[in-house]
Amino acid sequence: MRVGGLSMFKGSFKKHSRVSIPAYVLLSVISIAAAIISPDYSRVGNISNVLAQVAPLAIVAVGQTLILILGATDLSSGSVVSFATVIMVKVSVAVTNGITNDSTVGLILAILLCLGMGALVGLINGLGIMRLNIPPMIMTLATGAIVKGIALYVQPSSGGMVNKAFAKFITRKFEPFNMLFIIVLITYALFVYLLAGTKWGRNIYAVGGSSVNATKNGISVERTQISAYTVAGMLSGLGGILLAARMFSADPLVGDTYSLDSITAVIVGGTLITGGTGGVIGTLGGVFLVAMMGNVLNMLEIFPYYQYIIKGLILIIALFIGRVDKVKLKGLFQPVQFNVKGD
Amino acid sequence: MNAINNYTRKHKIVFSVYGLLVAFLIIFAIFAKLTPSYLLDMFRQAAPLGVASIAQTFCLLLGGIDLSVGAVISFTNLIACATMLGNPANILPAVLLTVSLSLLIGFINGIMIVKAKIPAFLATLAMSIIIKGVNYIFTKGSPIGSIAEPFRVISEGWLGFLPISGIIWVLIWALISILLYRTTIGRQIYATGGNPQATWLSGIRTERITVAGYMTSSLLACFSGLLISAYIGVASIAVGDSYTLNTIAATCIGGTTFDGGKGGIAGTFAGVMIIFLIQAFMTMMNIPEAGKQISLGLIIIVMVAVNQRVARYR
Repeated sequence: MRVGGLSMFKGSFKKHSRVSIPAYVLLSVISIAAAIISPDYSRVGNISNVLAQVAPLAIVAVGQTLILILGATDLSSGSVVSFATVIMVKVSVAVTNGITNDSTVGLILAILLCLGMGALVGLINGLGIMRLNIPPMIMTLATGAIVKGIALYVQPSSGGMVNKAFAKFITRKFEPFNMLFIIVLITYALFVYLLAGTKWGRNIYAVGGSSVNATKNGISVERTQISAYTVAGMLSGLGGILLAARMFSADPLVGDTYSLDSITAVIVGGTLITGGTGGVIGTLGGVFLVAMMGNVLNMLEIFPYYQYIIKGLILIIALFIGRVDKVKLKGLFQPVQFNVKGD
Repeated sequence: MNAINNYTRKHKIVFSVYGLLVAFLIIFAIFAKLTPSYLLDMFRQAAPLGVASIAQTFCLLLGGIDLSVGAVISFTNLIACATMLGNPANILPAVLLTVSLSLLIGFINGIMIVKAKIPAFLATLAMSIIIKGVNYIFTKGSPIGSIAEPFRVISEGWLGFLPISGIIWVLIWALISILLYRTTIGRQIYATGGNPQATWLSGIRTERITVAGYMTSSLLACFSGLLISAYIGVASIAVGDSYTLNTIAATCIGGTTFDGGKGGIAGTFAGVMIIFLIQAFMTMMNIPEAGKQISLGLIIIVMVAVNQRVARYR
């Protein structure tokens, strides 16, 4: 049997996109409700704004999706985002006599450094999890703390400037679209293909579903895991680059919310925490839901801190719904369900 | 046989942790003057972290994790200050209120984990975000109130040459030790953490044990918050934030594993002191927040890797 090709892509894409339907239904309901309640909402300017706002989170969430399909979570992505913004500020411009000037060499170096740093953190995560046998959550929590520490050491507080030409290029607008969102679309298209149409993507699903079975079928669990963590780290780095360009500045703590927000987006998008199912199509819907909620709350002039509570509740509800699906599949009347610790 | 194995392994890790603590003390003594009074003062200041770490150990033994410890500590601090308003007459209501609210938080955590089958770390992470939101909404960004002067005795007071907060820490430690090692409930906690399915099949109500475990954890986090409040005396919105990671690090160093059912609070005591020594060292060497974060991350990675290795080649 030939492996690969369009038929494989179609089958896998269909199977793993079905889970994202609730997210998109909810998204349309909220959008319509918001458009009715507040006329400001459907202005082209606002939509364009939302599309630009979600870009960094959308990119980080792609990486998070890979890790969730593997059945783990990446808590270090937020720190990588922060550190990437710091790198952009420190490297992409040249400071002479207190005046910051654009530097092309610096810009290229900064982008490479951000991606490389992200990949390195991801690689360390993967190695720690596979070789040292450290639980993924703890490993990524620890590397997250280390990266945050390094970012704080390099730049203790927010400030600085990013390469002006680059920031202008990244934030260019062609209403209602903008450069940021085009980058997001390209990334998502790429990862839809990579996950559903390549051996690497299929291996991730297989390992996430059951690493024991994956091993028995000749898939290298270690290589799959480490490469997925590396790619996820690199995507967090890219998210940081976009965020720095959008903020036109750096903040060693700006990424703190990104880890949890990206996890929320992925789970809302229908990817199960248990691994093996889901995909980036759902994640895009989840990202918009998370971002839209902030936007709608702003429109309704609700005290901004309610966002925390609503974010937490959305995460809990999404996790609960995901779990209900699972129970339905396995038969509703099992007395107790446990995570069987194997592999 | 397995029980004996378990016992010796547990103690091997505990001994090595205390060895590590002695090593750290020696290193510390080289750089700074280590007088008994300095050590006792350190003991006093480490008490809140110590109590919170016992809470974390509890959850790790149950095979879960409590990422809401820090949020509960901040929450307790804010509520205690806002209800006391510096008036000694309000001490009892404030304590009762914070304790009952923390028990409620723990109960919701437990229910989410047991009934809704949400993974512990996500449930408690979501809970910590919600509590953080409540903190901001409750204070509108600017915390009010202060701790009544008599209440501050629990962190500032000395009983002879012993700090009262240290005594409270050791008392809680002793109580939880008795609970874990000398009662049926303690054995049931270990069993639930080690193999929930087998435990459930042996007729132990694992769900109740888990919910009670998370309630205990939240309650201890509340005690820790009260100790911190008494120490700083005012309301501060993010006072507990660093505690989540610190308690996890202290518990890891203490030899409790993340699989559940292995480890204990004996090692956690040394873990807390090691964390505190490192942080004091960082402060002394003038290495700010950055150094603390990096050292915590490295400690967690190294200690968990060592523990996993020991557990594998037992």
